[in-house]
Amino acid sequence: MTSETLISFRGVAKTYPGATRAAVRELSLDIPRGRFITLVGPSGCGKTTTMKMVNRLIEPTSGRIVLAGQDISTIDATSLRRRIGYVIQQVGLFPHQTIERNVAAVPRLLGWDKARIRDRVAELLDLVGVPVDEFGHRYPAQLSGGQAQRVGVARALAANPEILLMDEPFGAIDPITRVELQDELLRLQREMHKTILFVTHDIDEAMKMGDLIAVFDQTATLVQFGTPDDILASPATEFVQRFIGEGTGLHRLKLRRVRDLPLRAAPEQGVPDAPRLPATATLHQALDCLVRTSADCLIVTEQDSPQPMGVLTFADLQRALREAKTPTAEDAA
Amino acid sequence: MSFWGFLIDRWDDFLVLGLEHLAVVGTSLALASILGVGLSMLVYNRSVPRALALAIVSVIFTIPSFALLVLFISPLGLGPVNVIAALTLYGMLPIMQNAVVGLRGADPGVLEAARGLGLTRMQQFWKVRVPLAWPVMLTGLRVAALMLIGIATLGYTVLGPGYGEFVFTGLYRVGTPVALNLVLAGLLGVLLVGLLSELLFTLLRRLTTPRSS
Repeated sequence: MTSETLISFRGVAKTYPGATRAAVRELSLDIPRGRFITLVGPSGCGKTTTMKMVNRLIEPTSGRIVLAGQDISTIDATSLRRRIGYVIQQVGLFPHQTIERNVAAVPRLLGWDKARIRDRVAELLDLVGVPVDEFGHRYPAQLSGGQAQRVGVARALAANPEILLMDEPFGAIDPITRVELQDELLRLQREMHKTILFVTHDIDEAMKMGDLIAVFDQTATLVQFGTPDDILASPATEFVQRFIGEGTGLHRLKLRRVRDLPLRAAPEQGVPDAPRLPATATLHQALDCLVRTSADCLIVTEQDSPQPMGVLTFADLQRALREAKTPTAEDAA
Repeated sequence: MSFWGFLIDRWDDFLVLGLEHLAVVGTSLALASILGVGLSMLVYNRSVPRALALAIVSVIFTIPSFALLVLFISPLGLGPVNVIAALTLYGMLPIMQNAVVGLRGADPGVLEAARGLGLTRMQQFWKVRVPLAWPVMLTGLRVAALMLIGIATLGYTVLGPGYGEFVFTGLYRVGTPVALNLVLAGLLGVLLVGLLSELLFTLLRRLTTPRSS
């Protein structure tokens, strides 16, 4: 995949006034256009500061950030922010305005005409699953946490920004709803192809969401930038190794889908009693199925049809992990 | 004469004094709101000016109202202007205290979102911070109104308008049959004005703040 750089950090550092150590240390990083980037690390590692420097909520102490060829310090901060979507953990919907009005915030600032705003708001609220007919006239206090953050995402997308900054957006949401929101964001991203910077301290979330992951350590240094598979297969430092934790092999299996592997043809006579698995399943699910059923192989079927596509064995899974730097599930999607 | 008979007999006076009472309190409340809220907006985010401003209005608040009215006789003379000046100063404390708390108490997450979405500083203040502080400010105005309705009665000592006239005339004629009726009529009037004020503020709150659930 071609990766034209959209945002470029060039020797960017930030030390807060009065602080003895840097909040972000000499960072150089090129963010490719249209990819989902997760910034991950422990508290105080500079991931949030890094993100907030992109829309100038925080100004770097030194270095430059270049957006599509233009140094952002030369762009008026307010107009820069209106071009960049922003979603935060606290959601921050305006409690005195209706849901409709909240989503319309940036288009109104940009002076869109009323009809265009109304259509856009309806489109977005439908897109995030908070239909305008039912929720448009309610106030934020009348929504659940999950619904509020869906509206938060719709508000950030309202003026169709190319870049979306998300600061632990699902951090305060219950685990079941969080998984739903993660899946829906990934679904949206497959259609939108925004450039997303997504801050999280949860490595599993970072792996699940990111096409590329930037790992920061406690010294506020970027220690590794790569695909989830790269990072799991070859952690750059001992810190990354410890941060990604145990079970990296199992993690890597979650990143790939059965349909991405070359399958062996099913034998003519068929494989009696072998369990069946749809091609959209992850390798992790395939392994689980093999272990659970004590079968020697699985029959892989097309989604929504019993038609066998081929068979998969334990050795195929092992081979898949040995081939480093193969495309990830996200790339193939 | 019974109290009700007295009231019917003096009904015209009762109405006129009521309107006067409303006018003097309304004017003072409006002035105190403009000054108090305006000053709060200037000082809410600066610790030294904020502490200083609140200290000054608190000290003023501790001056006995009777003394303040008498003190204002030499610059402002007798009559409504004197009373309005005193009431305005008394109204400042509850109004400023609430306005400062409201402005400072705005949800940081909402303010951060406003900044991140690209609202200018002015827009962040007028479109987010002030509306968020509004319910708390309104409570300050409501408390101030009740307080001023009570204090305004004392205004009659410097020949100010309102129900003070009934109360103080009653006081001067203690021992005569009409004294009790006069005082009761004054109290009833003040009570009614207070109820009206509560009603208006409840209505205003309903109309200007979204239901929370």
